Amino acid sequence: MSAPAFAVVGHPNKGKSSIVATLAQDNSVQISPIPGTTVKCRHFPMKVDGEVQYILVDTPGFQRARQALAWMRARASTAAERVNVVRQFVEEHEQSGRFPDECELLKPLLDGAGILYVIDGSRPYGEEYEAEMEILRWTGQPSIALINMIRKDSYIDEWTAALEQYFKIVRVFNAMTAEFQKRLELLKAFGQLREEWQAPLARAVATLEEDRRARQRRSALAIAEMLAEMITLTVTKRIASDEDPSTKEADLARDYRTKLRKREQKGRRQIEKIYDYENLQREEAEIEVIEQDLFSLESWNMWGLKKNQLIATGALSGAALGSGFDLAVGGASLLLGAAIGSVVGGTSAWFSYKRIGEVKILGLPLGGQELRVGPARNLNFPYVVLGRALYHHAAVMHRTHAQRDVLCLDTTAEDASARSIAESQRKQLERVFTRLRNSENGSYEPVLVERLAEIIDEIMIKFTQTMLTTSITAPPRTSATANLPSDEPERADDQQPPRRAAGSQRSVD
Amino acid sequence: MNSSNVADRPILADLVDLSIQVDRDAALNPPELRRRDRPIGQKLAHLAGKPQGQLRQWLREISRDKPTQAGATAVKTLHRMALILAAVGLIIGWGAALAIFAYDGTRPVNVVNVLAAFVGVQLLLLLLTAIVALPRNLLQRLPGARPVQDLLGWLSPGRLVPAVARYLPAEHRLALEAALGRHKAGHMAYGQVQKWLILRFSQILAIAFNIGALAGCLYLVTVSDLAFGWSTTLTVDSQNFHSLITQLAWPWRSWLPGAVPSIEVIDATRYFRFDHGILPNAPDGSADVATLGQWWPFLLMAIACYGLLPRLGLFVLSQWRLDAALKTALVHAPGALQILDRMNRALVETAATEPEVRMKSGAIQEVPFPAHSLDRNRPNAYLINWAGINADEEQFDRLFKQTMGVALERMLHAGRMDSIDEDERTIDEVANAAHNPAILVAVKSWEPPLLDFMDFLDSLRAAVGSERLITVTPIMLDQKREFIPADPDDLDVWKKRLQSRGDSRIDFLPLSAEAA
Ligand SMILES: Nc1nc2c(ncn2[C@@H]2O[C@H](COP(=O)(O)OP(=O)(O)O)[C@@H](O)[C@H]2O)c(=O)[nH]1
Ligand SMILES: [Mg+2]
Repeated sequence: MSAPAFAVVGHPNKGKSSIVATLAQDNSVQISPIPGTTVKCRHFPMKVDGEVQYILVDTPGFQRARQALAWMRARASTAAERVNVVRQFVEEHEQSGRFPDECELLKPLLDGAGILYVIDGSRPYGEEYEAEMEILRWTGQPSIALINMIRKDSYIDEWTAALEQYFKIVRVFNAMTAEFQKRLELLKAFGQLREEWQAPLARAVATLEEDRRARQRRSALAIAEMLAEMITLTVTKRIASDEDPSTKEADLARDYRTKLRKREQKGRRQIEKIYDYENLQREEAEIEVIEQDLFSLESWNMWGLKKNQLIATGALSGAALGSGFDLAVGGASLLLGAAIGSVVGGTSAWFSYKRIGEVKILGLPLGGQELRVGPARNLNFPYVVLGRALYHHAAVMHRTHAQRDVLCLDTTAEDASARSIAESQRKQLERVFTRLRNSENGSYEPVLVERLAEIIDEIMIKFTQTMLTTSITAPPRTSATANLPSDEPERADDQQPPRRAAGSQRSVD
Repeated sequence: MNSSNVADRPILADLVDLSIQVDRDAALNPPELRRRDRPIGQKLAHLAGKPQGQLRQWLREISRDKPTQAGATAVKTLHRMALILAAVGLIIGWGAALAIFAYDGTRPVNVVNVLAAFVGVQLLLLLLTAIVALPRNLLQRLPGARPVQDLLGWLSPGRLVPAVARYLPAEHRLALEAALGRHKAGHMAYGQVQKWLILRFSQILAIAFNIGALAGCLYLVTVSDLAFGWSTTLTVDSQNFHSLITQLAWPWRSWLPGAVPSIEVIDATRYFRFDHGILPNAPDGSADVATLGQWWPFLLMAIACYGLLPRLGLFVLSQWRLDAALKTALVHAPGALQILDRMNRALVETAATEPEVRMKSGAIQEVPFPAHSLDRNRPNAYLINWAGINADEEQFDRLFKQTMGVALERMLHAGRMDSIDEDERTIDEVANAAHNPAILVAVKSWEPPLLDFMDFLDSLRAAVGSERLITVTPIMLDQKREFIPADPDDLDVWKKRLQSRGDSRIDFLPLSAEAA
């Protein structure tokens, strides 16, 4: 049995392509206010491991329905002849070129596709629709009418009355804003059209739900990775001992911020790709980094040891290496082993070094001072990053592929999103954050990321449901960088929302 | 590609290859990767639940067309290093034995020296090794141990490499630095691997050292006549020294009594720096001289038990831990989770299979509308109501009087359901009106201009001749059926469509806001 197919048909400009884009999550569908943008049928097979479950077909709209119907009427005298006349119509006019759009859209129907007839319920019904509805009836295919609401006005009642004359099922479906669940419901409704379509559609719906969960988990992992990297990000600059470190601070801070932002942007793109959005335009306030003690200054030497470490090392070696010869035995074995370990660790990179071409050649003064920014010590920082990421994720999830405008992210809602993290989850997060903050050289245990991803995934489940309401009701803030506003006295102190601003630092322990 | 094949290959090689593959994959798109990896995952369905096996087999499948040598090379390098270390250990051990057992006939070989070097120092180093080997979370409970572990870790000469790199040819230097940068970033992922790898190398060196020392010792014993004695500045009498020696010999004294020096031997072999002769306490006579040689089995056993054996044990341990660390590292390596996800999750695709056919645009030449020229001197007009706009003639009449100052003489219909004939009749009537009334066509602004309407315009134009002005007016009605201004976007669509006809005698006259 071939997979069920559904052709989305109707008047031009009523959102056929939009519905297909939303259901198929495909950004490549051309959607435009100019009628006749779609000129050829386009197939959108839903495949699970390469096996087609159902096919959606986007079609051009009817352009000469009245003339086509007149042609058909002239040739069919009984109802039994109608399908054949439609077929004859397509065969004849494929050659003549008189009805290119009608031929194109009728072909899939003649091949057995179900009909999804789309109209715009925000505009009045008109008799010019009747010709096309009649033609659709002549094809004898099962059909659903979908009332798309492009604008605010509603003519649903008059439309429903008219559509029910021709279609068994009439549903309202907003192509632009349909939530995932709504889409699944619609797919289930497609299954109602034919007995034998029910099972494959139900299967497809189940798979889509599972797939959605998988994508969310992937997103959680991507966000966790980003978070870990942003928290542990460090930039350093070595300065000669006679230089004034404060002259380098501005440069270094800029460097740090740029890197943070780049990493965040990369994270955003990853999430968008997970939900099949390529090249999504996005508008979001840049992350603010206000650290009072952004910089730390430490001395370094050739071995990379800090001063006190060096002294301790010397003492230890002195104690251990009493006789002078055991250096050759155990000490050497340790050192040698370590050297080998380092080289092995990097062997793989040897082969890809050309891609990492921008690695700086290490300068070689023997010692001096090192100015350093990061890892982010600020306690609120991770929550700000996470809040922004969660909000962005939810916004991407709520979007449909019919929307082609810029994705605008609202900073006040981002704040609200960080606030909505439950206390118990915040405790779990804090444990991971603390370990990340205390890791060295931007290196952290990968298990931390995995743990983080689990927590984030849990938060997401709750969050994506509440996000939109929060974002709408969140009070507008004038300054994104202000300290905790005092106008929220009802909040207990330990539940204080993490805020972007990082003026004060609590100690970690 | 059977699973025994996987088992044969060192995990370390796979680990290196995996990181290279993940690097390469970073350039590809997630959907591409899914399409590539999911079939492999299905093929490996029998490995479900064994992430490590899946990953390794996946590597094999991926690198089938372009196998990488990196992992194999890394393993080969390590083998070579192990060999070198073993050789170095043997030589140092041998040399150390020769040095410590050096006997010039004037003074006996001091047993205390031998024990200090081969047992004492070795045990000390063993302790350090043990500290390094301890798991981190256990160390947290041991005060002071963690800094020591850190410091030992800091002792890595790997940190010298950047300095050395300066003297390398540019290409190697870049590669090395890239390697170091990479090494830093991935430090934690491979931290345990590195730790146990280093420890394993230490054990190889130490084992070789001990074997070398034992061999050197045996060699000296066989080819030369060694005299052993003991001497120390500390006040230790023979009795105490004997009990110490017996304690030391505890592991073997029960089953190898010959390798435990007796109190007589100890007594006989004590000497002092200022003594004359080699062993002043020794009784004369060749038979007794032989008993003095009793020391060497003891020393050999001491080296074997306190030097070699623990190292062998540690070697086994580190090999075991290394394997475990490698397995964990493989599953937790950056990118590994994503690979497993791609293999084990159903590949769901919903997007189109064929590319979008782009609408031809730009080629259409747009003709400007005539300067507004509805003939005010011809106050009577025929209105064609296209597609049954739901308003009556009076309404239209009022509207056009207000906005254009024309009176409607007649309202005709076209574009309605069912009757193409009606369209023709309308056209005939307009064309045959002898007084040439103005031609107005009212259309629904919210419906897009269809070819059906364009066909109608064509017929109308043909019937009335190319000079007659045809004015198209898009209408908008609110829900109470009152005229309101049309949506500018809709008007724009209509305007463009009409202009694209290239007919300069078609006018476009939407209702202005105030008119409505
Ligand atoms: N606001 C809104 N606009 C829509 C919706 N559906 C379609 N549109 C718009 O209507 C126009 C035509 O849509 P399209 O999908 O290309 O219609 P088609 O010609 O039937 O394929 C586009 O400008 C869409 O942005 C909707 O549900 N809401
Ligand atoms: Mg379209």
